[in-house]
Amino acid sequence: MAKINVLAFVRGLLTPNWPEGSDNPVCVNNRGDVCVVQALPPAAELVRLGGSYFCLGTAVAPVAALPTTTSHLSLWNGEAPGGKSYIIDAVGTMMATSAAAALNLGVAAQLNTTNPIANPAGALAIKSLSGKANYGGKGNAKASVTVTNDSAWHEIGTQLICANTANITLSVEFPVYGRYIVPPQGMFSLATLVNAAAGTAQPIIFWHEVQLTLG
Amino acid sequence: MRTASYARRSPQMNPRGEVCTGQSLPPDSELTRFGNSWHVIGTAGTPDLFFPPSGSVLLKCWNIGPDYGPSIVVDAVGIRVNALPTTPVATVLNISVALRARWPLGAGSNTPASGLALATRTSLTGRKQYRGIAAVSGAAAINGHISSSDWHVVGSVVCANTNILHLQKYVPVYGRYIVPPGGIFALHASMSLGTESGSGVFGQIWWHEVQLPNASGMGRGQY
Repeated sequence: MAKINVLAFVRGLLTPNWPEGSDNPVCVNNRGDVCVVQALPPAAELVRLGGSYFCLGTAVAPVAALPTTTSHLSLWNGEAPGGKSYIIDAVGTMMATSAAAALNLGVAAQLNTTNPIANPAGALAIKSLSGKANYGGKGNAKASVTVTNDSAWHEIGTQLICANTANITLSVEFPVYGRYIVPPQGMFSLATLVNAAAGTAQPIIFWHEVQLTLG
Repeated sequence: MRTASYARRSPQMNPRGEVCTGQSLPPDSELTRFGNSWHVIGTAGTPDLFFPPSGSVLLKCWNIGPDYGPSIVVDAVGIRVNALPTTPVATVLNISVALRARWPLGAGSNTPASGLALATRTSLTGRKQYRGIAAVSGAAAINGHISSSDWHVVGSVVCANTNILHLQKYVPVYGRYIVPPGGIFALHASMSLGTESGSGVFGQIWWHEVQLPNASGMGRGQY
């Protein structure tokens, strides 16, 4: 087993209470695991950098089958090659008008693999997650985009089952924890899935714009 | 491998070069122990039928700290129904939030209205009094502070029962929303049927007040 070339204090059952401002080693447990605590809520350190946003799509009729060439909300990464990647943190959708039927509400996604993708014309409002007045990135979000079908559409998360026929603003949100990374010139798309294609829905994407080295 | 307590040893890495760690405290404890973590529950409000909200909202939270001062890091939000509607019905209860930066100078103000009743903000570490930078009002009017495009729904709960007392929704957002000085965070509820208009619906926010580095002008509240 490899070791880090730093000497740490082995903490058994008693935790130290070192004085404020003193210079002390980090602690490891008896196994050698570094003892850590979370200094901020998980998303805060990244969000504070100012490159975190969401986009709520316009109302589009949901579909009862996985889409092929039409998305309900697409996020296009407008960075030049080598630029920032868009890390998808969470996705969701909301019924904008009631389906007037019992619903199974879910979300489908596709991350295009045929890149580069052309910028879809038109733009939806992109909102900051740190209270910035204006969007400062190079991305573009658009509803009802004709997308390249990479045969990569798939369902995300567990559907929400609603027995009520009045279901306006019924919503689901699925954290994906950065599982999808949209490279420069790439595109990520969502569609709302329901069992009865009625009413309209507004998908939503939360993301962080980060400089990454992609493999 | 086991090492005696009080010894000195090197932390362990796996063969990929990653440091092995053990979480010493539950995730929120290290931040909460500083004493700047709070919770608020508003007064009874009326949910909307439609989205986005346009009238009074369940909770409105201003960051009234100075420029370059602490930010409000929102950890979780929630809503609950505490009264039966006039006509009990099955419902869908939804929770919406909005985040807004300070308006540009001369285009409006995010200052709470004078004389506005503030909700009781309680400590998450048992501190007796609130001494922070959040002015939170229940059943507050939007007053043009928040635009319709700032709103989005963050969660729903479905209830097929006609008795919806104590129907509630809790949504951890893990610091995803940061309210800079001068900014506003608002929370509201909507229901799927109009007959719940008489319901007593309460909003809740859990937050931490943290001095964040100004990597992107966070402290200015307008940029």
